[in-house]
Order: sequence, then structure tokens, then C-alpha cells
Amino acid sequence: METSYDESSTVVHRAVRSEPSQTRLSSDLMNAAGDLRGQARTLHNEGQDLHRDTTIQNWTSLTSEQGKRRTQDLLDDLHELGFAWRDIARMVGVTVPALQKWRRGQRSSGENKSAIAGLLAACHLIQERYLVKEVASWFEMPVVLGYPVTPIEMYAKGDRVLVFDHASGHASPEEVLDGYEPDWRSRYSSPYAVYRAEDGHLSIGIETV
Amino acid sequence: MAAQKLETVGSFEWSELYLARGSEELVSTRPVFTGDVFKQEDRFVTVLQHPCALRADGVNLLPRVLVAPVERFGKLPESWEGHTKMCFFPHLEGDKSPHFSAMFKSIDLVGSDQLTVDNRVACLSLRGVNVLLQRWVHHNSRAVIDTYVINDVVVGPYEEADIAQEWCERRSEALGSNEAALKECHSWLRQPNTAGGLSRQDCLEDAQQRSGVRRAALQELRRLEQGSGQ
Repeated sequence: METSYDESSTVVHRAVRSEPSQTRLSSDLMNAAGDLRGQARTLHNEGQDLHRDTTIQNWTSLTSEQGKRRTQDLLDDLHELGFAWRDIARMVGVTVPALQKWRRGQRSSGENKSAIAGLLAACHLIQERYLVKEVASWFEMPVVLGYPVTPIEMYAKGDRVLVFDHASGHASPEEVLDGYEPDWRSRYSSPYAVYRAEDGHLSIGIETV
Repeated sequence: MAAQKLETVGSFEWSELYLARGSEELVSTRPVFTGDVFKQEDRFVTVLQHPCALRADGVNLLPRVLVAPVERFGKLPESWEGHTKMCFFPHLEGDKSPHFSAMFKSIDLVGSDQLTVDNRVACLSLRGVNVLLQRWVHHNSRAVIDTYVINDVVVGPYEEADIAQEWCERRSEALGSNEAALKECHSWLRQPNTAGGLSRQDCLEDAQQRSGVRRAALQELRRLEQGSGQ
């Protein structure tokens, strides 16, 4: 029995031609499966790159649209979504007092306005494309429960691609954190944990298994 | 067990420690909070207690508050490791101003009437409060608690302060005083977020519910302003 691999249809065919050993059959199948995996990986990577590129293009285009509006209006919209000023400031890369000045009507630089427009555009993209209803809440939630990394932190550090990957669900939460901070499991393995104490307030204690 | 380390500059930028510094940045309607730095006659002091320990009724500061003196510190060390009896406040009063440090060995109690917004010189960011508390707890107990764990017990009260600041900005004039606006805000925060559910104050401790409380606060402020004809 001999195995052939049809690349055009990516289907493994088997045909009976002789009676080779079981080892030969097994080896041929293994090679074919390996090739298939390689092709699938290439296809996956190409698809991932294409999806990421088009997402960033879409986001850039939405940012340009938002950039036509007044800085005050952009900030008001972000605040209305439920973001804290400190989180907006962090993601835009400025201070809270700078945001307060712009809200009062002082002019922001083009670069800062573009960053604010970019954040609002990202929120709209995530809401509309990935059906995230409460986008500010989504940004504040840890990517993996029990670990403190949030989309706010990833966005603030400039890892927008990972933020969109997380929103789209095309990468698992663990894959997203692997891409952001490979040592996240050990880095955030504190012996301390927070619990609600008898007086009703949150307290810190030693984590028990 | 792996040695835990106090967080030091390098894992964060020093400017990340502050919410606001100097008269141009500070907002008078922000309630006094952990880490706020005040100018007294001949010295600076910073508030050391956890925010929940500063007030009994949620509005008024306790009569006496625990502080640490904040003293000039020449050149900041490249690493803050080893400097465990203090917390650095780089460029305390503005980008080109001198460095200071809160000295944990010389703590003091001061009357809360001395901690007024008029003599406040800096407010810490949430990150800054976490770093200060990590150092203060370590100084007292030798326990190094990660700042992201401390964050979980600070973020709720910090959110309250954020909301109270905006509430007082918009309501002080209509109500006649900042204190009246703060009381109104606190009363609203103590009410259930949904019928029979957790209070809004409790919801601010939950990352998933926080933004909903902020949105509700904005709606309530608009409703109150419309009611008072503003």
C-alpha cells in the first residue's frame, strides 16, 4: 500500500499498489500529515496577518473620520462611554490635567487629538465589529481572570493589534497574554489575594489553595 | 520562596506617580486622599492611611490624621531598592522642582483642619498611592505585597474620589458649598445600584461594574442640573 499527497486539494489519498511494510505506510502518512500541518500553519499565519492588517487599516480610517471633530466632543464621547479620565489619559499618553484643559476648550496638539480620535475609533470598531456592548467595562476587565493585565494596559503600551485580537476572539485570552507579556504566569503569581472581610470591606490575605 | 521586591522606578516612570502637582493642575473639589501632600508652615506632609481609614462617615475627615513628613532629597538614587524607610516624590511641585521623600521614621498626627485643599501641593495617581502603600506596609510589617494586589483594595475608594471631584465641580455652586455637594454625592453612592442589589460604592470595587456607575453618575448629574435649572 502506498500513500500519495495531493497538494492541490490538500487531501491525503491512499492507493493499494503493493504491500509495503506497515512502517513505510506509517512513515509516509506522517510526512503527509506534517506537510499538511505546515501548510495549515502558513495559511493560519497569512490569514492572521491579513486580518490584522485590514483591522488596522479600518481603525486608521475610522480615526481619520473622528479626527474631523472637536477634541472636547471626542473626550465627552469617551467619558459618556464610562471611561475614567485617568484611563483615557493613560491610553492617550497624556496627563489627567491636560485632558481637563482640553475639555475647557484649550487647544490640543494634532498628535494628541489624533491619539484621542484613535481611542474613540477603537471603541467604535470593537463595539460595532465585535459586538462588545459595554466597551469601557470590556477595556477594564482582566484579559485572563485573576491576572491584572487589561486591554487598557495593552492599549496604553501600544499593543493595539493584541487588543483587537482579544476583542475579535481570534486569539484565546492566554495567547493574547503570551503575546503581550510571555512571563505573565510567573510574574503575577503573588502569594497574596484579596477577599471580603467580616466587616464587609476588601482585605488582603495569604492565598490558600 | 522567591524574594519579593518593592516596586522601584524602572518598572514605572516617576511621572506616573502623580495625578496632579502645583496650583495649575490641582483641583480644589477633589476630596483629601491617601498620598496627598500638604504644605504646613515649615514643612510638607503626606497622608499615610488607607482611604477607608480617613473618614468615619464617608464625608468628613477624622479629627486627626496620620502623616509622614516629606523632606528634601538631593539626588534620587537610580534604584529605589534598599531605601525602604521612605517613599520618593520626584519633582514634587513641578517638572523642574526639587525631589522630596516621605520619611516613615518620623510619622506624626496632624489635625485634619490643617489638611485643606488650599495648602495641598500634590495628589498621587492610583499607581502612586499603590507604590506609597506598598512601601508603608513593608516598613511596618516587612511584608512585600505586590502593587497590583494593593490596587484591588484601593481602586474602589479612588474611583469614589474621582466621581466626587466631578460631582462637586458641577454641584457646589447650586448647593452652596463643596461639603454639601460631597454629602449629596456620598448619599447617591451609598444607594443600591439596582433595586435590592449592591450599593454603587460596592460596585466601584468591581472592574466589570465600574463603568456603569460612572455612566449612572453622569446621568444623575444631568438630571439634578435640569431640576435646579442649570
